[in-house]
Amino acid sequence: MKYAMVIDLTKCVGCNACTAACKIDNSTGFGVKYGQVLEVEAGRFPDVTKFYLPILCMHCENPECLKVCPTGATFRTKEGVVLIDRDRCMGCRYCVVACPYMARYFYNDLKRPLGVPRMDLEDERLGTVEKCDFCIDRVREGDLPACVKACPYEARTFGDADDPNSRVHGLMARAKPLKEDEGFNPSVYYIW
Amino acid sequence: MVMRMEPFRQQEFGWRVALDFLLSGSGSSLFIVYFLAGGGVSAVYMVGPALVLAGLAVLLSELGRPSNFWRSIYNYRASWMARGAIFNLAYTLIWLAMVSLYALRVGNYFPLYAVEFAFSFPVLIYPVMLLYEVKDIKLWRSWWTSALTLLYAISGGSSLGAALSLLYRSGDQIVYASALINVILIVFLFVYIQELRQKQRVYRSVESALREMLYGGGRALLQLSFSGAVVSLAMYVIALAIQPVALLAVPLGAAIDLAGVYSFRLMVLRLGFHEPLVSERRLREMAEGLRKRSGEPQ
Amino acid sequence: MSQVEYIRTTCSICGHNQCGVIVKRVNGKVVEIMPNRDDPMTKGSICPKSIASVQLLYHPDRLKYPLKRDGPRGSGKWIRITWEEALDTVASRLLEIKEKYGPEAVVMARGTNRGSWIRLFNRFANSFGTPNWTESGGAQCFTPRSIAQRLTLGGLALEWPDVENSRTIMVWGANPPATWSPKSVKIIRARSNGARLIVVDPVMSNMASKADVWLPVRPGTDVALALGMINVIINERLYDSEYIEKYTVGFESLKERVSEYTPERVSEITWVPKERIIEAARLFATNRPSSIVISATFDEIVDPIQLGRAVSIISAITGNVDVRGGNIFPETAGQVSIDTNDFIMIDDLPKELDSKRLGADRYPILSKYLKINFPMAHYPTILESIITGRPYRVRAMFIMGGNPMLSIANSEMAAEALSRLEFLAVADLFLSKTAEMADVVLPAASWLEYDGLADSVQATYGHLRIRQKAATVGEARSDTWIMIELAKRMKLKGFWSSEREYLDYILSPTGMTFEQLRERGGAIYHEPSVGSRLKNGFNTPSGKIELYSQTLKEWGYDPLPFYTEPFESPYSTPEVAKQYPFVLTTGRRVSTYFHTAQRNVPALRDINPEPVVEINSDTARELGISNGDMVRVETRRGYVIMKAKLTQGIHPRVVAVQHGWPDEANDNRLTDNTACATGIGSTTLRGLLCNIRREGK
Repeated sequence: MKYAMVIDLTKCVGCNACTAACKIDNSTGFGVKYGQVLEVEAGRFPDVTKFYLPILCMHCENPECLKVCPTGATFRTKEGVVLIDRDRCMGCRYCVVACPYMARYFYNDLKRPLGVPRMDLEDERLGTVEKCDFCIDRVREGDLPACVKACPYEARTFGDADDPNSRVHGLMARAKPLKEDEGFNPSVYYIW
Repeated sequence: MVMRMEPFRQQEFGWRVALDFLLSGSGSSLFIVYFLAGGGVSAVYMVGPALVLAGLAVLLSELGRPSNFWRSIYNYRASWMARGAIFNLAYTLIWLAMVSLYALRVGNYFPLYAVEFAFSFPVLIYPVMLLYEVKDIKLWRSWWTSALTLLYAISGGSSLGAALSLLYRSGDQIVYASALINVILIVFLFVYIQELRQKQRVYRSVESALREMLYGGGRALLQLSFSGAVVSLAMYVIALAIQPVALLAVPLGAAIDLAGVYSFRLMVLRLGFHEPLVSERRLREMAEGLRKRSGEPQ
Repeated sequence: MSQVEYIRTTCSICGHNQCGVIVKRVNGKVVEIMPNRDDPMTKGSICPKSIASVQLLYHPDRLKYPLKRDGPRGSGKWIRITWEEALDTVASRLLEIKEKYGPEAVVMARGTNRGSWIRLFNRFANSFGTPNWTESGGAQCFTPRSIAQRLTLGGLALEWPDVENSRTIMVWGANPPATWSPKSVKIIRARSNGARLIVVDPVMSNMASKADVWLPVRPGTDVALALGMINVIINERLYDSEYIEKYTVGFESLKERVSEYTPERVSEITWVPKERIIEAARLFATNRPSSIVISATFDEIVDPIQLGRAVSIISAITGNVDVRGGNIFPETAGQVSIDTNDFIMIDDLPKELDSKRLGADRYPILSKYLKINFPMAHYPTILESIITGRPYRVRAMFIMGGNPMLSIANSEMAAEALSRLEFLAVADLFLSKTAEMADVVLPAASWLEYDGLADSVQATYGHLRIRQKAATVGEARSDTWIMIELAKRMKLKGFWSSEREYLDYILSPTGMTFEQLRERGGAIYHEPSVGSRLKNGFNTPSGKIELYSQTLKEWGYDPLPFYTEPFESPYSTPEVAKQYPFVLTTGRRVSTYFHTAQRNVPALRDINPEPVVEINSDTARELGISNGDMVRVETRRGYVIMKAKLTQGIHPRVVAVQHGWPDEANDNRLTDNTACATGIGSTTLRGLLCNIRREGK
């Protein structure tokens, strides 16, 4: 079993519904975005190409963050999901530095919402590193990750990549991950 | 047509990590220098490890959860951060033993010196390896950056050694050594820049780092680390030529040298650029594909 | 054991899209809002604003009970009062002022439509007897374009692009991914299935990023671009001559008029490369059916009626009106339509008051009752009246769901006017800048807190869906409830005794009550009669599409579309342009905010934390501005400070600022409210002159 996500860039228009859903579902602090949408622009006016690139934790099969973690707080489950054991994390941020996809966030006092009131933030996160967990609690209950569920354009597909009948398996055939030559083997793929 | 995505920079490791690197690097190399020079005064042997301990304290203050520090030893993982924690801790324990024996004035503590000497090398090397381990930051994962980082550590340690030696004994050979190291450092720094110029053709992140280093915000730090080495070298030469001013010139040279070491550390951390998420070649492909809309029909 | 419920409802965070959503409630608390992919109308569309409504709903700063000001205006001292006292105060004070100074001294102003009460508010004002009701949007939103469409097409066809069946889609002055999620979802689906996309936008917006042809028009010159496209279509004979023959009037005079708008000349005016204008015109006219998606640009330029007319004409001469895949006419699902002059009870308003409406003399198309409009007072004229007392002084205002302190042109004047009122009542979710000026503040309910209907004209294409109450916050009550309760106290005609009775009235032609509709799944659908106008005639005096508008001629305006240079521009005011060399648009919208609202919702604020000004990166380099610098944008009226975003997706001489931020980033400090559009009174918000300079890090 290996959970994977395929994002169709031809459908993403950068509306950030996924980002909002993610922030609500995980009640993340200010500046912490487990998932976010980057704007990529190329060319020169008026011949400009622009597209939106949603990024999140890529849940690599060969994760750099896991390799560098000094306490074993980062681990990979049998479902192919990279998770963080909050009780083990000592907040050294080596993983944040090492992650090639800027998916990890260190949660400190500064990340508390600035200029807006705090809402539902758990203090037990303070001083640890956090990131996208593919909404594994929801997924185990049979639900979809918040970002997948929220996307009005159905640009995101989530499922078991090892199941040959799954939609995600079919899409992966013509999808490619980011930084694919580096051997991280991410579980998030893109179609363009 | 411009087709590129900018590399992104690591934001987490900053001045405090640089300070830890400075303290543990110069502390451990100070011990090495003293041990090799066969120095005589016991108190000086205590200084190096004390600096390493200070570095450890800085590192602990940097942690989000210092209370979980021990887990890095308990849950040892093959990571240079974990190794660093073990080396630092072991180093500190031996130092404590040394200090207690010294205070009680019992026994022969030379074996302890030897063990501490042996441990000085991993403590010296671990910051280098910590940076080298990050695969995606090409500037850090280069032998030249590693070599220079190490050289700067040794330079800091020997400069400190030179300054301290003035207090207890004639330390000419340490001053000579420091001067020599600074000469090597200056040569290496030149070669380093050339090397990066070569590498920028392959890695966008190195290109960005080099640009920052030569023309951007990293420029002041590069100049400081370069002029630190040059000025302290000049100080040592003056001290060696005119012995009476050595008492002034050597400590001054050492201080300037340490400032240079710190600048270099900080510069390397600040220039920790990751490779861009989408390479130039891939970006071209993507722009082309998105124009043709090869996406999945509904 | 936790109790999980899923409530199918319709969102109304922005009022007009009314996306079908599912609200997840655990133990009585709303925890998640997700798109309803089975919704017959919106098909799974949603936006971050809707998703983050959970945080809006339980926001600690929400107004939970009515407040009365305690101390001088704007002092920030409030005391809690009961609903009884609040409603009695508002009712008695408004009646008192009506008694003393006449009904026109009371202004009813609304902003956003937090539900389906837009027209109910008109009815409330007319029943109260004041000619002076208005909207923050007003002449800047929907009104000009709906009048232009009614004049030309006899209905709001441009509001209903049938994009799902289109082969070419032209999005003009709109950014649906940020503001029109349902349309955007359908456009992207059509695009995935091979439809071609033309986008007219000065900025490489979300929508433009998906365009096959992007027309980066100089802000405010859209009319010239439209006329240029008509010129190409006519000269290259790409029009549908059979359609023109059968269903339109005035083609020959149109032909003559547009002959002066050659692609070369239009390219000079609009700064769009000539080849692109031709390419877009050819694509639109030949790859049919083609539809047009429009939005507020059609209300915020120097002459919006002309733009609405010109673009309607593009659709008409290519034979795309009232056909599948083109632009079709909105229809109700059989309920009482709220978009009629009957519903708003305009005839109950004494005739003599019609000419007393503020703005009636200068902007008759906006403010006089002309049968094809909902006449409203002109906001800048209201402010003038409060301040100068001419032609008479407005004494009291009742503002519902609006924040004119930020959202209308010339904020300084708005602040001064509001502070001079004798009485101001505001209904809102939060203590907004405007509510801070009020005497009485009424806590309004968000879309999650009441039962209602999704029947705004832009969401009712044959569909009617319900909105269901999912939560209660303090004593907050729906706007409809507030109006009904006030109507009771003021003994107004044509109102109901409860909210439910009102909903049942709207539903009465369908033979169902609200409860019955809820039980039957909460949605009804009535197959729209596409092509019926082609068969039975268009709802215009001639019964045809009026390329040449007899009505406009009768009103004393040019019956054919023409281009007007913005009141300030590098060409109309070259001396001003020396000091203010850049063309400014305040039209930038992001998906996370609806006008001035939601800046205090943490999840949304984190996505767009700062006000942003978009500048061409080459221009910025010349001015020493780097990405993320704070930049001062200055016009003759004032300045704002915003964060620079450098991009190649904008003309080197164009600057785009975001709308809706408070204080030093309030874009309406830059805008002008004196040079209003002929007849309709719209203030120019796109196509001003400005200068930019670096302010600091």
